[in-house]
Amino acid sequence: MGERMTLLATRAQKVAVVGACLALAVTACGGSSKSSNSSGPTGKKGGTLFLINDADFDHLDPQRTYVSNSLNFTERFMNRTLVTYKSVPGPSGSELVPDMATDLGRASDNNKTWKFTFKDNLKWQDGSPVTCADFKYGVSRGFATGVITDGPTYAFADLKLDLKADGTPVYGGPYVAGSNGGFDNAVQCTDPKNIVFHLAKPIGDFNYTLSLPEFAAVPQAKDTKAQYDNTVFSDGPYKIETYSRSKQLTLVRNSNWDPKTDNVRKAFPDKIVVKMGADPNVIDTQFISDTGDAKTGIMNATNVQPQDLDRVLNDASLKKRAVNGFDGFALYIAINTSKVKNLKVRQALAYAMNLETFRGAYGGKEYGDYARGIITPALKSHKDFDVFGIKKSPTGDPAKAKQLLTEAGVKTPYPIKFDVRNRPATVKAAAAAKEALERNGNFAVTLNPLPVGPYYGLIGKKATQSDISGGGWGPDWPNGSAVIPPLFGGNLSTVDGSTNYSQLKDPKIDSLIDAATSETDLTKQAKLWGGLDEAVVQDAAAIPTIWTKTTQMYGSGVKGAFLHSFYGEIDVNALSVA
Amino acid sequence: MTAPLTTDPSTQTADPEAILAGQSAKQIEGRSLGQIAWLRLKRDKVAMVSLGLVILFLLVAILANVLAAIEGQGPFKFNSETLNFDHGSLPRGHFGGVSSTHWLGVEPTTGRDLFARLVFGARTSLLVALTSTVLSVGLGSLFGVMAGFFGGRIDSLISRSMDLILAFPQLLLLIALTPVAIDRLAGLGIGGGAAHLVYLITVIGFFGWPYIGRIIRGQTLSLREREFVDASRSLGATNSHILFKQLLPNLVAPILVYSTLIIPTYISLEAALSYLGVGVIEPTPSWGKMLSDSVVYSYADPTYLLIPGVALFALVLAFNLFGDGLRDALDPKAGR
Amino acid sequence: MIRYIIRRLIGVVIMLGVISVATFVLFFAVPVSPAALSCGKSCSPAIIKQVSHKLGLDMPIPVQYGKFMAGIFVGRDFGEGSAITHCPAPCLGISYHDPTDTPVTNLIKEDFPVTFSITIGGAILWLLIGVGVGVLSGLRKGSIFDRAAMVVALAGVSLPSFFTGLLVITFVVAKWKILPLPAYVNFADNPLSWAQNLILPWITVAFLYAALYARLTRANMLETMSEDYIRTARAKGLSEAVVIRKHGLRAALTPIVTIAGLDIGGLLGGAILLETVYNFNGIGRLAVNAVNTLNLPVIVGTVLVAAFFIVMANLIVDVLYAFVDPKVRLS
Repeated sequence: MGERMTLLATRAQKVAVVGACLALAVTACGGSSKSSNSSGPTGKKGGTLFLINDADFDHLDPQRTYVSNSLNFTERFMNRTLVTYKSVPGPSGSELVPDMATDLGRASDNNKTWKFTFKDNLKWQDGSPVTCADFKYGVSRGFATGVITDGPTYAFADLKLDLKADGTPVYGGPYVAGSNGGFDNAVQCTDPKNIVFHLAKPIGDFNYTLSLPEFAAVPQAKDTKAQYDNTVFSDGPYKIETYSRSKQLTLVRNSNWDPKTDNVRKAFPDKIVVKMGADPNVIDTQFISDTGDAKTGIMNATNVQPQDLDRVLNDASLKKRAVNGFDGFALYIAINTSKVKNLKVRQALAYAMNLETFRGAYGGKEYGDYARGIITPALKSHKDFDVFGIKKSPTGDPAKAKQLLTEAGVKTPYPIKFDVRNRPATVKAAAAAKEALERNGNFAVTLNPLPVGPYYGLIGKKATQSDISGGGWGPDWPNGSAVIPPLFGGNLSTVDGSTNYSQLKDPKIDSLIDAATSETDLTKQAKLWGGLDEAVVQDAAAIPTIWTKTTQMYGSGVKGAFLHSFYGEIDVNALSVA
Repeated sequence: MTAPLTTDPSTQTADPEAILAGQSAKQIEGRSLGQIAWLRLKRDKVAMVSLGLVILFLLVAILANVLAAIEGQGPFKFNSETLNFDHGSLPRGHFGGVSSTHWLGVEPTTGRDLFARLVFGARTSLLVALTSTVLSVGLGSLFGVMAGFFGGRIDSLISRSMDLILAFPQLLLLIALTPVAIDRLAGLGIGGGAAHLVYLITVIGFFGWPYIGRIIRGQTLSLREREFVDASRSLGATNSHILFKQLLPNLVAPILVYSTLIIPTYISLEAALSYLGVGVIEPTPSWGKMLSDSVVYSYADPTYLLIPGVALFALVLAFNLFGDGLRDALDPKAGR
Repeated sequence: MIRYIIRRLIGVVIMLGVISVATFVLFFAVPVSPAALSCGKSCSPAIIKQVSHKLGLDMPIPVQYGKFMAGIFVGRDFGEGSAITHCPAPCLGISYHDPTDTPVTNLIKEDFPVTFSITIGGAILWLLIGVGVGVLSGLRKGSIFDRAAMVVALAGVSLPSFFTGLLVITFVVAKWKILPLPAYVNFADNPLSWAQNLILPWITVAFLYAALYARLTRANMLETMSEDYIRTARAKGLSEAVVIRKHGLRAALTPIVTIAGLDIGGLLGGAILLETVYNFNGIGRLAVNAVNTLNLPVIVGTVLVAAFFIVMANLIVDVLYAFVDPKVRLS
């Protein structure tokens, strides 16, 4: 969730979208793990790779990371998981391969029990073996929600645990004494070579969840609790040398990492240096001029800014140092249905929008495609519909909007307050929306810019949210179930801080959501999500605006850069600088 | 010096101290303080040119809608036809889309007319700067005179308050208070762009008053001890008579000079706040906002950067030059 | 003298106390619960409660203030059980996020050298140039040098400093590639590289202040040199050089010292615009980032530290004055 991870996005909260390979179809696209290494790019060992970032990582503590660039970084460099994503260009990047496990897991008991076997010779950075207990301990940390904040706790919701009345687990993590709440039974180390997960309900794609670093191992003896961000203990190819938060992070080789146990990681550079906190505009300048650290560096968590897009994509010498493609995000404007109750008024809003000027404010065509739904075309759950006639007329239909407002019997101009994240391009796009909505005297729009960092916290406060609020969403796993329920589930409509920014509580939608969730045939399920996407757009609970693209640059000294389909950014794994 | 004032420079500068100190008001026959200053000012070509420029800018601000109407454009209209959406939403044509329809070109990514935004932006920038100046000069004069005139507890209370306000890191506070203040203003029913304007004006004005307060207090302290005040007091003048008839007229000069010199700093401050993301909000144009938005376009669309940059520089320069001239005219000793 | 200093010190302590109360009240009235902001995506009322409790936000504001003040002198612990975060004295609280749970004092300590480097180098530059040009201009009023210097100075005071900085980056760094993009290097690591990277920020800050100081110094010079005692000194037959050095400069520069003290004190609390323009992680940037994320302890901490510098600068200037001019002590 969150807007594009550009600028000062401190909590962009984006977990990337997985492209072609969808859940359950593990056998179809999990594929043979052995071939994955040979298909990736090759490079030479040595040198220092720079990652130029506009801000610090949200977290490096594996149980707390959630933003996609942090996932990419920790998974590829320091914290291996049982299974992980391939490191290849194109849609195959979203395919799972075994990492610390020998295979993609074996499900039994109608997908309610998942068993994984560890590879041999897995070691921590101090040479001690990575044990099943370390994995179990790592998972347990995620339950200490008072200390291990920000991680996606839903990742644990599927485990078979004792629950309190409010639906939260009884188990409170390893730092507090008290009931184990069934945790020991849910995550079992049956023997040193195997780990078993018991689930509360059948989940056919549970191994995808296990690729999240929330399920990475942490040795209890090295756990520094809230400070673990700074002292992450590595079982991957690199380890922390120095870390000055919000400034610089330096990784050096972990000599105890054995490449023979690892089919995915290339580990070409000798050293990884992350430079943090530069202005995105300045980062552009660095990469365009290809000087200093940028020469052997890549953009990380930031992308080419609107004013430089055209130049980068149309100057051949710059374009060859850039990756460009969809990043799995949909921008949309949530319509607060508790304030704008009249369906016709909401539909009028959608018809009155002008996507051409809206997208233009972000830099035009190079920024993405006009969106017609919240589920992007990269997902199997995507359905190709066009409720408001965007294909024919992206500039909107103010006359139709006027007609709807007249039918609704409301006074025009209808007053609308618009929450917007206070970033230059975002606010300009909001100004474009204001101008569009005010055509024909349809609406009178007041913009309400809110601070960048706490933006989602502020609009998540249900009582004070405005009539409409800008937002962006990237699903946490490759299914409509990661889009529709969090954005439109009625159970969240009044929960402060929840992502239901439309405050939608529609029994019809809710029953459709229940039906889709319980559908075991994933192809059928995908269709149901697509239908739901269309239904919420027809209900005008949100106006989809842009399916966004990302453009990132890398220095002339970097080889092997490509846009990874899961992370939605340059895969840090395959790069070489020597 | 009882001889009628001539235009001879030697007589003009003969007794400069007297003019500012206020003794001259009665001594120089037939010429008020203002007239003398005006005579001096008129002879200062630079000051007159800058005054002309200041008046021009003020006219532009006042007549913004007329000027935009003459051009036939508005500041808020998105002109899609002027942009190339396939190429970074940059303006079509040369020099950022300069044409007979859009005299100064258009804003990249929006296509809004830059001339219209420039003239309406002048209105915002001058409104913020002038109103804040009135506020801080008003408060500063009031409290400065009170502190200087009454002395004692009132003086120490006011002086300590001024010290306190001056001890706060102002720019930081201006930024940090924005979310809190905007939320509070919304509670008072002031929302959207108006809230940001009200906030800017009040905080800039409020944090600025101690500066002039200190100056006025000092001036009042020295004036209080002058013979003419003693004289009126011994004649039985009331406090309010002394305050308004004796002291205030003599404080007009420093107040005027200070106001003229503080306006340009407030214009720059508005620009800086816009740069830091807490100035006026879209779609309201202001020069500071235009400048901070345009800075990143120095490569892709240099004209866009040039327009607000030159305008802002010229306005600030004009006020500074005029302020210099005014000070010289009112207090020739500070000298040119 | 000592009595004067003690009196002023007591004043400073009271002033800092009032500032801390004012800051605390101002910022702990923000529109959204800081706990909600720092508890992340999968937030629930239960987690908010937990975090509030850990950060001590569930106590009444006066109690929170008391704990905060106590923390400055004796340190503080946040959280309970085996997951305590200790914040040693002088503790200004712990950061809510970016980075989480780090004592604010550590963040400020880390960033202070950056702000200090910018300020001190810049101040030396602007004092040398500004005062030097101002004195020369004042002595040679109307000369070509004077006119040229004053035109440049006017430009300097009329350009917003962030704009100057951005122009410098655009042209000197990006277009002409004369210097690489500045990035802060520790003085201890490499003094040469430290200076090389700071040269552009120094020039930017000095351009504004040198212009201000040149104008001010020139005006003071002109005023002083027309005073009666200067005429007297000349009449005594002293050489012009001696008159300028012994009588003119001293009187003309005393007010400059006051202003320099305050400007330096102000900048030490965070050169916000400059640090933002050049992406230097000084106190100003720390504060701006904290504002953008509503990271209250860091906002309060940086405001207090900045106020501390301003108040101390005031104190130092006043004490210096008292040394020079005994009358001040009595007032």
